[in-house]
Amino acid sequence: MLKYIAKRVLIFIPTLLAISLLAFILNISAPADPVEKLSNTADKEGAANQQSNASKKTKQDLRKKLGLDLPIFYFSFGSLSDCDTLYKVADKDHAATLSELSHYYGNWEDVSAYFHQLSNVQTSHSSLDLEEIFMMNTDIDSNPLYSKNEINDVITQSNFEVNAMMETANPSVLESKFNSLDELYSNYSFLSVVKNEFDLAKVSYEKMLSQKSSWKSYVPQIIWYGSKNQYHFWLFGDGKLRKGLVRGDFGYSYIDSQPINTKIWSKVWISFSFSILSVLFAYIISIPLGIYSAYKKDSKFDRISSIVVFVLYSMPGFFIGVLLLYTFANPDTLRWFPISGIQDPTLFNPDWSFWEKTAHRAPFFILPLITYTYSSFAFLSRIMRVGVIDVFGQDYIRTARAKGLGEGKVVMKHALRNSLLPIITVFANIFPLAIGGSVIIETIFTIPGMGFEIYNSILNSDYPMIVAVFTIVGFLTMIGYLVADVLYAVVDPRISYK
Amino acid sequence: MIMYNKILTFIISLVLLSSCVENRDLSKNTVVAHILSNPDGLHPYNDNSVMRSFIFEHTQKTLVKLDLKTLEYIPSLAKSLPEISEDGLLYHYELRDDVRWDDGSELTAKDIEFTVKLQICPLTDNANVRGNYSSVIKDIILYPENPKKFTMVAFGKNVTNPSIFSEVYVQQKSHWDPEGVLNDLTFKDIHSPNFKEKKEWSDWFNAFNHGDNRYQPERLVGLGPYQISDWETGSYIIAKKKENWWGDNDTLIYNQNYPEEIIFKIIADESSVFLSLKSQGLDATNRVGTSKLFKLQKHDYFNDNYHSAFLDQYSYYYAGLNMRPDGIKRKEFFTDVKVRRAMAHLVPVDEIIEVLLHGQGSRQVAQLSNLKKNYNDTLKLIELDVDKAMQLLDEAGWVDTDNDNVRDKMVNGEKLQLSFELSYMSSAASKETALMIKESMWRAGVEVKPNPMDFSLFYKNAQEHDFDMMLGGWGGSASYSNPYQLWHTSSWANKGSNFCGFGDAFSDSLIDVANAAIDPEEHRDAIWQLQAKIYEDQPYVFMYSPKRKIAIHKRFENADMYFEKPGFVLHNFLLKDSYKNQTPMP
Repeated sequence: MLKYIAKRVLIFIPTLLAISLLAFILNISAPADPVEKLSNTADKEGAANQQSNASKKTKQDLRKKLGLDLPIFYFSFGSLSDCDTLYKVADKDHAATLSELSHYYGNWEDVSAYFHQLSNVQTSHSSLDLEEIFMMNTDIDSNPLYSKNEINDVITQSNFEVNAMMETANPSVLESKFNSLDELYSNYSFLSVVKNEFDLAKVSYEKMLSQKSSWKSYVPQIIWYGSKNQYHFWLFGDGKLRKGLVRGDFGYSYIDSQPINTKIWSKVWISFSFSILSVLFAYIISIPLGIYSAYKKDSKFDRISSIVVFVLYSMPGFFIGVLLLYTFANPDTLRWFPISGIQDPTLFNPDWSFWEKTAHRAPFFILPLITYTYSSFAFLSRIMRVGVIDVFGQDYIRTARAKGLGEGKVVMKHALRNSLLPIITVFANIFPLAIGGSVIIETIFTIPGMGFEIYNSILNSDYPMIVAVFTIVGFLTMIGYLVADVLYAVVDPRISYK
Repeated sequence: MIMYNKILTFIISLVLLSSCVENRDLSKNTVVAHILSNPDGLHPYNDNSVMRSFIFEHTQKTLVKLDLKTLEYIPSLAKSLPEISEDGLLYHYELRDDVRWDDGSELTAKDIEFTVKLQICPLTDNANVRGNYSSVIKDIILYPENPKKFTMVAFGKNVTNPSIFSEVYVQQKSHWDPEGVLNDLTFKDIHSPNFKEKKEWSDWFNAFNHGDNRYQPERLVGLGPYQISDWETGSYIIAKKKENWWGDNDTLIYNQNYPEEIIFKIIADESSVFLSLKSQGLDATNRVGTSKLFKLQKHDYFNDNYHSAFLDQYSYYYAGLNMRPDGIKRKEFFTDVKVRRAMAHLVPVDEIIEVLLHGQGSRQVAQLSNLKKNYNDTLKLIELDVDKAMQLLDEAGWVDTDNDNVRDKMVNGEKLQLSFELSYMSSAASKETALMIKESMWRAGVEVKPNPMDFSLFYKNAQEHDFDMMLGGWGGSASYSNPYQLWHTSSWANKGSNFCGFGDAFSDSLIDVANAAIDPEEHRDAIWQLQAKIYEDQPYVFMYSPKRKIAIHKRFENADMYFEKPGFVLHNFLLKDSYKNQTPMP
């Protein structure tokens, strides 16, 4: 058995690496961009940050600081048309456009030249001064050729169209935009400085079209990046602040710069406590219920208990949670339990002993625990019931009864052990659930657990936190299945791993 | 006998259970204030949450402050409001003589210089707000002969220059940088587009930006009357009154420190807040649900124990109309001002306020709240008027030519139906609003297709102008809101917050004038004209401003309520004598 356990533990290592890599790549590839979220101005009316190149630089610096300006992995699979430095492009939309263009046209150098020229067109708009243009287009009799509104509209339209061109690779859209901008620039001579750059962009575009070598998109290549990549730094550290996963460092949260370890360990004990207690109570209630239902199959008790557990199962957690609050934490009905949190800030003393703290916190756990647990009764009790019914039909049960053994002994000594296997399988899942928590229950009862923390991390694209939780859940799942396998052997002597 | 034992066991269990809840001692001089969620941190620079600002009212100080009563700026750490040079570029300050840090040392202008350097340095993790300050503050000049005096040099004239320090929390140089690592970091370095960081600066900022400076109570130091003593993440934050605080004898209400302790208790769920108020578990909240507060106000036990009110505030909700669609993905529904005005006549705002807010909301006519002093009161509310809307749509050429009850029009040679998407962030309230708008618009032959989505996608689409009509909202405050971000044309072209494409040269010039005008009359005139322009062009259907719901326990005096958030001043709550000797409530 020990040999088996050791072998399984050794397999953990490559499995964990694979899980962590998958989590890493899925996260980084997800549409949301943490840099956008972190660098966005407060969205209240009148937040004064002007949208300008200054904020682009800010995003670039932020991307570099978070290590997001590096390639994701040691290598990537691509085609001959791919550029090996695309990961350096700060703007995700621009990077996507460049990637699409290079796939379509195959000639990265021409694509890059075209895009660079488009950037020049965009930048040239900053040299346009409304007042100056207005004055220059006013004759000696003070008759303006264009109104200020018209000038402003034209400049804004041009700026917007160029920005839009930098975010699309669609040939027909690009064609249409080139034509409309051509017309715009020919009609308004004050846009000459922009037109000059635009003409160069057109030349680059035409060169890109003429030198199209889309066959390159079908020739695979492996692009090697070396050890300077995000995954490597995440795993082994960057030699500066981060020590790497191998040394137990999950990195720092993008949201609040707290070490991920600190964030998780400060909350996981709460989620873990709820999980353990929930499983304990679920098993304490469901196993006897399932056994008795099987023993009294098709009786009134069996039918009524089935209806009750399925009604409970059908009721959503947020409904039961709020109902419990309004019934048992309400001065108008029963004020038996506290309303929210896990301790009373006006009474709690951090210097209390463990037991004093537990005694103080116990009432806070009751209602959330009930909400957490009730839905498991149906599932577990039904599994137990089916297992016991199945076992009751076996010959050795008939033999046990024939031998004159009491019903209690027949059920508890002979039937129970043989019907535990499905229950053990379900038990394996409590390990990953320990870190999962429940957003809804934590919100209703204001429990500072992992559920809400993970939800918040996903909303804010907090990659280090998400990848850490993913990896830990994977690890706990493997632990859970190992424990289940060991318990199978303990419960059923026919199962052996030799 | 068995039955008797069972009943006895049951009664004993009930008694034991009923003693699970300890009653709050209302004679304690502790204020329990409700907050909705955990702040992301209490770093002096690196967090921007509403909760942080609320807590900083008690633990930090700024040079100037917005007075909640008069809604004017008043000096706080400065002796007076700044003296402004004629060109509007120099702002001269002098610090109070009596301000002391917790270690007893005096506040000096060097602390201000240090504070500002950190606020605008690219190495601080405050990318989302840094631009607000780095675009305004060019330099800080110190005067060796007077360590209390300094001058802020501004880049340009801006109406917000005198109040730029109202949200800059002053930090102690000797506490954060006792070795003077940043002494040779100059404002010129900071503003340089090719800012080159030295290793010692990087190391220093890495330590400064560390999460411990956001969460560890002993590191969260400031000039305010309270100090964070305990922080149970996700549960509560406790601020304890400082002993021998420099402002103990000050008479300004913002420098009072009557409660011994302020507990910021986190309660995320509306039902829990409701029950907490019922059981007197909270002393102050500005986040109770409208219907819940109504329910509470029906009971004498609540009214006997709490002051409560619905107060106007500055945030508002709107329906945005895409004025500059690309014509490909998004069609030209709202390019004509008559159509936009028709939409305004079709949104049942009063009904929405009545149904969703139970009447607790105020109509909004333009981008400025009527609580603000520069509100243009000549602008009239646009009433629900289906006939008027139909007339406007007819004039704009939208007519139902095929009798399917949906208006249509030839646009660019193609028949286009007036059938568009109404995008909104998924929530029960937004869904109801969308359905009410849909139902109302159908009466005028306009087909609305509600399109819910999550926040990230909604915001992305708004920035990329990928919407027809959208439901949105903006927060606000009594302080000046720079209209650049929301209303300047460049903010549309560069994917800023001008989602709808409002504006032209005239409106841009009004914004520039309003921002640069130091003269109050000139500023007011520009803001008035801007409001009128926005009203005329109708990029938004301005809907309503929901009222703030406040409840304060009657065991405190000075329980004043204000329009400006947070709505009350916790550290001014004075426990009444009648409560001081009270036994715990039943």
